[in-house]
Amino acid sequence: MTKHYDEEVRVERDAGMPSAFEWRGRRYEVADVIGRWRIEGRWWADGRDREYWRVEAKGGAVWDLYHDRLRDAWHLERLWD
Amino acid sequence: MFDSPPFVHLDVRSYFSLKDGAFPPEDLARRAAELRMPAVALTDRDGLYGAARFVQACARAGVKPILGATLTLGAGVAASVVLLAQDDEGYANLCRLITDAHMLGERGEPSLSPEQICAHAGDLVCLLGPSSPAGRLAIGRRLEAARRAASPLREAFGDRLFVSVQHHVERDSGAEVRAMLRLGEAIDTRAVATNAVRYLIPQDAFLADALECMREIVPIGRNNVTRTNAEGYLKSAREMRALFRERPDLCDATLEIAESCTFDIDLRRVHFPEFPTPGGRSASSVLAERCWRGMDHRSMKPTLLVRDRLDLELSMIHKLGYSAYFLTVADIVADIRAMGVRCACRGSAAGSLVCYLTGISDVDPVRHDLLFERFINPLREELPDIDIDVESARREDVYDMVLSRHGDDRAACVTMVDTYRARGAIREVGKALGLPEVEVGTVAKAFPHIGADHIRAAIEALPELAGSNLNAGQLELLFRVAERLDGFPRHLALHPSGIVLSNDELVKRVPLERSFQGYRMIQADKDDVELLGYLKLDVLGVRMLSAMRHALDEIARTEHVKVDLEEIPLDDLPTFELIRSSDTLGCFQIESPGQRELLQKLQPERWEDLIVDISLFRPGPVKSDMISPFLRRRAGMERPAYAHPKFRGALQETFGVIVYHEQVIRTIAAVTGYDLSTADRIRRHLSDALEVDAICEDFLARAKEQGLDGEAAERVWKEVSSFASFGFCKAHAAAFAVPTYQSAWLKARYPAHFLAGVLTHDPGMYPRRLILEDAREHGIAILPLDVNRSEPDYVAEVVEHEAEPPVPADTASHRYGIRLALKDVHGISDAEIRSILEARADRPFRDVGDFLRRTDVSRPVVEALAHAGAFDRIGAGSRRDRLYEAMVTDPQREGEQLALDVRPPLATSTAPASRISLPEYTDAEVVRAELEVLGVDATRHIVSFFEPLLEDLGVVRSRDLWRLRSDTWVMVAGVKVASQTPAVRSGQRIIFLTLDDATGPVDVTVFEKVQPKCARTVFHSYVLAVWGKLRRTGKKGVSIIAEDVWDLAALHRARRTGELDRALAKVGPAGASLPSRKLWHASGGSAGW
Repeated sequence: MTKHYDEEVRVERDAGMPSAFEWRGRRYEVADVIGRWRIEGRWWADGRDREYWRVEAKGGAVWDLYHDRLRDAWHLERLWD
Repeated sequence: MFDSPPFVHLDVRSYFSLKDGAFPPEDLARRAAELRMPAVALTDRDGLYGAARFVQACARAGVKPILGATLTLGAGVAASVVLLAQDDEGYANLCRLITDAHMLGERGEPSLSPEQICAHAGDLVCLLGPSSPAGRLAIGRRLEAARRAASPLREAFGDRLFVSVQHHVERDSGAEVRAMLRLGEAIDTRAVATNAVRYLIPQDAFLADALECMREIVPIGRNNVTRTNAEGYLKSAREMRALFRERPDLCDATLEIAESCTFDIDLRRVHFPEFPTPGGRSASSVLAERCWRGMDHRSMKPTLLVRDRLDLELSMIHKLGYSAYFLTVADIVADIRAMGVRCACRGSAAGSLVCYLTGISDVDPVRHDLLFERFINPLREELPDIDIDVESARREDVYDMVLSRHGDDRAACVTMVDTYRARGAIREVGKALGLPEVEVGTVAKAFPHIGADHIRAAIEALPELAGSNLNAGQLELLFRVAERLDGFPRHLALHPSGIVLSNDELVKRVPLERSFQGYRMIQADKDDVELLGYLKLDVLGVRMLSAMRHALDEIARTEHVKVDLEEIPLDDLPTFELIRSSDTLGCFQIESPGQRELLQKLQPERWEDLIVDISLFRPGPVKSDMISPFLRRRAGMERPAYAHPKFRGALQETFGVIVYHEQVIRTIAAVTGYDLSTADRIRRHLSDALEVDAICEDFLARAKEQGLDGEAAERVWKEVSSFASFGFCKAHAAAFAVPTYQSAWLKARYPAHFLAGVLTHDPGMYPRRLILEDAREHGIAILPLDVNRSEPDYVAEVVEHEAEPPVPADTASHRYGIRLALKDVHGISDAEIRSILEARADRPFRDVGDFLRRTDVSRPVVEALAHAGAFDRIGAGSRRDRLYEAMVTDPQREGEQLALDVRPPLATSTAPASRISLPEYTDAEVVRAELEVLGVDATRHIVSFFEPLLEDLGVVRSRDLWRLRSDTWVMVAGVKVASQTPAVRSGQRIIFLTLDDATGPVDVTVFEKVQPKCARTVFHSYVLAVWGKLRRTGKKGVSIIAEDVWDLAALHRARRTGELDRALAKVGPAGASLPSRKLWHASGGSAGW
């Protein structure tokens, strides 16, 4: 099961990688970075440039976060539980 | 920043992977150098189109080029592998594979099977990437199937097979990499890191999307764009190594592979054609022998001058290795002639005595003082290039002959790269972006005037776009893409003339493919051919040669005389009289209004004068006004001036005016003491802003050494440097003068035959109707279409006075008319023409019914024939009767009704004789029918219908204009037959018009100041009246400087309603009044136009 969100989050980074994030008033520490990918394109429409991070937070849940590089804002997109 | 270990990209597609890669190969070389890469590969899709340019750019950038290709496997889903050439043999195999991919499959869909690739695997590196069949299977977790798919390649390529691993930072990239590495392990093959580069920097990824969607002809949108990010760019070594941090060996392998690829395409090493010579003799000795034999044939005296010249040329040709090339071309020219095809050598090759003696060219370079060095120069990097003009109608026959005679592996056509121009790109991108077509068309048309940087202003300025759905954002997007596509290859086509002549190594160095027309075509354009060191022959189709061939055939058919144009006297008086009176419509090179004006001034008297004439009629000489001093000196009004007596020799023939390149070369040689080759090299660099100062310094220093005083040297330098770029190659002009003179000779001697040729092959700038009018002017009757007489083409026909329209009285010596051609009947097919010819070979047609029965001509075409009067001379009744018959007769074709064939069939055809005859066509209807069916007014001139109006307007006719004084105000009128707007010295736009008023052409000049009120009429109306001032341009030449222009048809209408005065009223040049008009004349006799 996954839950879809796409809400802004505050992310702390360490050596470029997310090390912790704060969502809905709670802080989650990143235990492991599982994956990283980029999405860029759609220049004919809105245009987007996102760097995705799939991280495992302490406690076992897996989260997809992305960094919107055009707006320099972090979003939480998905929770894998 | 560059301290990372190096990395070499081995999978890179440029814009020569049509609509895939988004950059030119040159940029790849530059970018790789910027990134300090030791080497970089170019692996375009199924082609090596960019190879020569890429290698050249790499040499400049200091990067080692690796040549390879991405080969498509199988049909349908495009799987592919990348092959890289290690050495000569590997490259030959690669060329072979690409050629097979193109030649064996469907045209435009190259593909190979793995077996084919395995059969030519020698010395090639094979990269098995995610797009390969095995890679696809591996990524789809079907490792065993993948192993099986890879194993033939594994066997064929051995340890030259690599699994190519790509990490595009996509969601599944990690899994893909692992799958590919597992495949490597499974087939015991090493892996290498690549990046499938399609753009050089991430910011250009959008271009790849646009190209992809244009290739697949789908709208640009997320469902049609395969890339998800911009990672497929030429990443730096540091970036690549960071991606593969855990497996540095994958990056190291790129270096190893790059090391192993040592192939050098060896640009500019010349690959001479083979010429089989008897008894092991050298090509050079055979060529020398041919030249000496040619001297006999040309009846040339072997004077010391001639012998020295020949020795010099032969030794230069031998030294440069071109002997076999000359022999090959000479044989080809002989073969073309043996086919009965007229041909002519054009360009600087005419400056060679060897070309003259071997029959390649027909211009005697010794007599005309032409320079070999202008053609072949050892100091020049360019290869010699011989251009042969042939009859346009036979060009494909000539191609076939050359290609088959010379051999499949040794000769092929040159490719022409059709590139995107901004306008075309705007249209295509607009379509891909789903923008409204009409609006995009408007934007495209307005293009050079609106650029990407001021789109918003442009939208406001274009009323057509107001209220449209196109917003500035969309337009910006459109321009962003379209501007970048400018210059991108769009597709590859057959070059219109180039054929490469080489040895059988050709196919080992260039892949071949098939052109749309089915010709074998090398993957190299004309610049590549030069870089790759191939000699080529240009075979150009020239319609004038076909027109002259037609004339000669007609002369032979009607007069039973075989005219040999190569043997006609070069001082034929009637020919020069024709030229001097500028009666040159239809003649090669000298028929334009400007040329006819120049002929009037120049009054050529000798063959050599034609060379001057052709050379002077160029933008350069016109621009720098070389013509006036030349004419003044020639007329004796001014003394020829020479900067120094030394130059008299070089410049005497043109009275001290530099006209020819050859004179520039000679002058430089005379001043500096350099030989002619060096002098030619200097001439070529005179327009080079970077070098000109150094050249000048050297020139003046050498002049001093040669004993020329400083002031004189300065003067010569000024002249030479300013005229150098304008001058014309005399050899070129002399070569052109041959068909020019021949065509004028034919027109002077056999005007009907010549004009029949011109009408048939349409070689010139004028429409057929003007040529018809010209024929009438020469007393040649235009004979109507006739189903029993008309041939497929225009033919000369002895006029039979009693049966044909009256021939003008002043043409007793002209026994010929021109019969209108069947092929110009609207809608008629070749098969229908054949059917007519075959049926009438049995016996002539008796009437419409007979025609319908015995031919396979479709009903609309029979009606068209009847409408245009092709049945007027058979059967009875009016033309309307015949048309009626053509429309209603039930055509029982022959065979269905054999028994009744001898008499008019009663039951099946409406017998016209039994009906009351329908009224005959009026004159106007006759001409209108001709315009409808043939597109020309053949029996009467359109202008003749306006006669009463012309009289009211006081129009002066073409034949009378020459009698008027300069500066006379005059009204002229006629059908617009030509209009030109060339760039001229002052930079203003001038429109040159030629009107035809049934008595001859009238040349009109429309200057910029009157264009606001006239331009619309000038461009949009067909028949014009012009009020203007007459200017004399020569003995019999005049032109009219327009002050105002009207649409004649509009005036005609106004006249009928009594409003002519009002229609004319807007005219009113100060101080000039219109001639009195007799408006009270009744408008009787109007044709109703």
